[in-house]
Amino acid sequence: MTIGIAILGAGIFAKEGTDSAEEANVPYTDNWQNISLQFKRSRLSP
Amino acid sequence: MKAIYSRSEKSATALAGSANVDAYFDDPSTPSKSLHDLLAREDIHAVVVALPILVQPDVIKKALAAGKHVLSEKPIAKDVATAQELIEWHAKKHSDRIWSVAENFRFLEAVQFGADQVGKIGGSVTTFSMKLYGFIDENDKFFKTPWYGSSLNSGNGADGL
Repeated sequence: MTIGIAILGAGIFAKEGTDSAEEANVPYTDNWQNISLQFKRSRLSP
Repeated sequence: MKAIYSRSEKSATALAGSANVDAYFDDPSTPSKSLHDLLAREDIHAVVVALPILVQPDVIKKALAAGKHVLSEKPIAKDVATAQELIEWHAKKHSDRIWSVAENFRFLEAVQFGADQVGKIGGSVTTFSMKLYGFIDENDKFFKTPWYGSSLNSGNGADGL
């Protein structure tokens, strides 16, 4: 299943990355990868 | 990825342009470009909330009420009371929508092991707490964020500095 997602909060996302990226050992510069990881862990995607 | 929202047009369009998705914003007010308009889109099933702490609870509620699944950055709110109210609101009103907080420590092997052991004893883990003590470089970009810099925000780095 493909889900459509949106990011709410472009300023923080672009300038700081996400704080949880650090815990997930995902580079701040690769937030897209972090989002994918988070959604998988949240069981929002297969 | 379908869209990006920011309170200001400048932030929204900058990131949306690099990702080649639609931009939404509330400042300046523009027809069909507000957060409300984004949340009304049926092709968007879930949202990632990475807004300032004080703004997050209200936006999380709006997204859940619009039928979206939500992944929100931590912390949930400015204090425990506000966070508890939000958790209870979600459980009562929109438990059919997934709301997850981007807190990765709960996925650590040690935490998972602990949960398994509790399960074998006959219980279940509903919460866990963690205390970390350490130094942060004052030039670190997170040191300068409101979360780390203000003791008004529960669970922030300033509590331990």
